[in-house]
Amino acid sequence: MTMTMNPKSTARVAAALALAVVIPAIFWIAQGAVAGLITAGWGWLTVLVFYFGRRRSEAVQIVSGVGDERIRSLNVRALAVAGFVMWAVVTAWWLVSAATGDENDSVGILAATFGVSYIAAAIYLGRRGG
Amino acid sequence: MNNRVREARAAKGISQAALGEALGVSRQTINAIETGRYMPSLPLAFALARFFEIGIEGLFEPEKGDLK
Repeated sequence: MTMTMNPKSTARVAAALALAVVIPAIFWIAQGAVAGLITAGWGWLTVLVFYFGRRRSEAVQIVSGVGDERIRSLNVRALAVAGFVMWAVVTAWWLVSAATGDENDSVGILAATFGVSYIAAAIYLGRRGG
Repeated sequence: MNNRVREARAAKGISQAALGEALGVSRQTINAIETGRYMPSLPLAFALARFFEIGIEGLFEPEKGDLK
């Protein structure tokens, strides 16, 4: 199977590796060595599954976003579906918390971040033309 | 969009994997194109047409409703 590594794919792998180092480090500092090591184990296991699993499973390859133009296209569409679900959940959560008088600042910030970044992306992509 | 990739590939006597290898895409992508589940990008469509040495119109034909 052909594996195309374009700059965006390389950046994605680099980001995953960075997270697999940074997240355990934070857990180590905040909760101690055991929590850090457990988090590191899960983190590196996830990285290994995505790195080696994409050669065996197309679903894993789509999630990794590393592959040819069809894989990258499916990765974007899968992200759009997940983004839509996240938008629906966060908006519903925010509305329920507002309606019950227990307004949750974190959910409000998440909803606002989604809305602003969505509009900003639409403006940027529209101006870029595609 | 209809395409004649499968026919062109069969005429050339090569496998989906070999075609994918030549164009830098996976065998699954070639299969998805042949079965109409995936519409290739314009650069890949041109690469396919060049590979088979036929015009792009000879390889891909829009269906009624594709051009609105």
